[in-house]
Amino acid sequence: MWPAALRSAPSFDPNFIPDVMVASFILSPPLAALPEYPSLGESILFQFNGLVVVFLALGSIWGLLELMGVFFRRSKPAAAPQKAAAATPPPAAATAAPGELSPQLIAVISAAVHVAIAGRPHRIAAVVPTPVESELDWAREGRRTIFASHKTR
Amino acid sequence: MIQGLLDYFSTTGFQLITWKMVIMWAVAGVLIYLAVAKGFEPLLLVPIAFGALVANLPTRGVITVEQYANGTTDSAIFRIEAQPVANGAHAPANADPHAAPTQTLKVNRVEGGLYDFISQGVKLELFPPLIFLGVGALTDFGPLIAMPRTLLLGAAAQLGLFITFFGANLLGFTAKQSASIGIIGGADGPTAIFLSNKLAPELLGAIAVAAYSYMSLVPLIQPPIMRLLTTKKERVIRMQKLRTVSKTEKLLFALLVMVICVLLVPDASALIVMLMLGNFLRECGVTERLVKSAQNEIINVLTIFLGTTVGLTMRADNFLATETLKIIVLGVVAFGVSTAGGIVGAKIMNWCSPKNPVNPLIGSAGVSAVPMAARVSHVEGQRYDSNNYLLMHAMGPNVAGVIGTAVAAGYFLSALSN
Repeated sequence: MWPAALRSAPSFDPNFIPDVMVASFILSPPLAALPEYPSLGESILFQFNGLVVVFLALGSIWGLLELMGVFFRRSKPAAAPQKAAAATPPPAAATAAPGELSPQLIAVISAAVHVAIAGRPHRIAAVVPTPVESELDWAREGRRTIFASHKTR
Repeated sequence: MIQGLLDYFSTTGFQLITWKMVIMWAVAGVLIYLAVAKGFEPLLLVPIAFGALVANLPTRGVITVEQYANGTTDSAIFRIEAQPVANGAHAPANADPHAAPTQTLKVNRVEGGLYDFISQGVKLELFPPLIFLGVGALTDFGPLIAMPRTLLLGAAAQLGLFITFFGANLLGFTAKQSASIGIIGGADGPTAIFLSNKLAPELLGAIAVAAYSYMSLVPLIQPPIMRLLTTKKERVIRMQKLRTVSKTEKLLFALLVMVICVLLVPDASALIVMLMLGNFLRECGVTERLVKSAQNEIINVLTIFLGTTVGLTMRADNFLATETLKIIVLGVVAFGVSTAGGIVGAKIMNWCSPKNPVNPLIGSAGVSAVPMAARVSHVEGQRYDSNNYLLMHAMGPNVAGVIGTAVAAGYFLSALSN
C-alpha cells in the first residue's frame, strides 16, 4: 500500500516504483514464491541473494569483531620484551637476580634450541619471555603437535 | 514334519528378499569397508552403513510396525492414533468411540518399532541442533576472533552451495531438492540433514551419505584444487602470529553471533542457538560438567542415533534411483566449487590487502569440515615450507564455514519452505 502522503501528492503515479524499492526487492524475500522449476533469471537472482545474505551475516560479525578487537587490544597493557643474557653457559655458581633468567633455565633453553634446529650453527642473541596472557601458546603448540602428528590420507 | 518345516520357512524373511536389497547390502558393505578398513569418517559411516544394512533386511519391529491386510499387526504396537468416522464423515463430537462395536475408526498413524521412535529425532529436527550443541562445546573460536576477516573466507566458501543449486535445477530437481543437494557443499552433515529433512525428505538418505562421504574424502578432494588455484609463491606465505583472545571476547562473540544470525536468518535459529549455547558453556568456565557432557556423552549418543536413522532411510526402493547418482555427482561439484570459492576469496583478500596477506591455502578450510579441512590446509602448506604452521590460521575460516553454512541453510529455508 502506498503511503497516504504519497497517494495525495499531485504528481502521484501509481505505476512509478522508486529505485529504493527496486533495490529492496532484490534483497527482500520475494523468492518465497520461487517456483518449483525456476527460470534461469530467477535461479541466478536466487543464488545472488543467497550469497548477499551470507556475506551480510558474516560481514556484520566481522565488523563487530574488529570493533571488539580494537577495544580489547587497547585495554591490554603492553608487554615489554626482556633482554636476556647471552646464551653462553654462565658460571655454575651464578644465581639469577629477581626478574632475570636463571643460568639453569638459559641452559635448558639453549639445549632445546639446539635440538629443535637439528644442530645447525646458531647463536642465541636474546631470550624474550612471552607475556603472561600468552601462556595459552603452550596449549596451542600442544594442539598443533597433535594435529600435525596425524597422517592425513 | 516336512510340511511343518515348510510352514515355518514361510514365516522367515528369506522370501521377502529382493535383488534390490542385495545391491544395497553391497552398498552397505562398501561403506563399512571404507569406514573400518580405510578409516573414512568411521564415527559416522559405521552407523550409517549399519542402518543401511538393517533397512534392507526384512526386519520386524525395528523400523515400523508391519501391518497386514486384515488390519492385524505382527510386532509391538505402542500407540494408535485414530478418530471416529461415520460414513466417511467425522462423527459428532460427543460420540463415544467405545460405545458402538460397529463404529469405524480411521487409523491415522500406527506407531511402533524401535527406530520409528528414534527417527523422530530427525523428523522433528531434534538431532542436528543437539549435535550442534556438542560442536559448539568442542569448537574454539579464538582463531576466528583473533583474525575476524577470515569470516569472509567462510562466506566465500558457500559459493558451491548456490552454484550447485543451479546445476541441480538444470538436472531436473525441484527448487527445494536443489537447495538440499547444494548444502552438501557446506560439508556440514547436521546442517545438510536439517535442511533436507525440511525441504526434501525423500532425498535425505542420499544427501546424508554424500555429505558425510565427501567430508571424509576432504584430504583427497581438496589438495588438487588447492594446487591448481595457487602459485608456489602464494603457498609459502607466512601469516602473522595470532593475538591472544581473552575469555570476555569469546563470551561476547558467542552472544553477538547468535543475536546477529537469529535476526538475519531466523530459520537457522535452532542450529545457531545450540551452537553458541555449547560454545558459551565451554568458554564461561563455570559449567565444566555440562561441557563435558555436551562434548562426549550427548554428541556420541546422538551420533549413533543420527547415523543409524540416516542409514535406515536408505531403503532400496528409494535409494536405487538415478537421482542418487546425480546427487553423488552434484555433491562433489558442490564440494569442489566451495573449496575453490574459499581459495579465490583469499586471493581477492590479498589483492585488497597486500601488506598483510593471508596464505590462500587457508581459504579451502572455509568449508566447514572441522577440523579436517584446516588440517589439510596445514599439511598442504607444510609440503612447501616445513616451518610454516597454518593450522590455527586455517581454523578461523573453518569455524566461519560452520556459521556460514548454517546461515545459508536459513536462507534456503526462509526462501523455499513455504
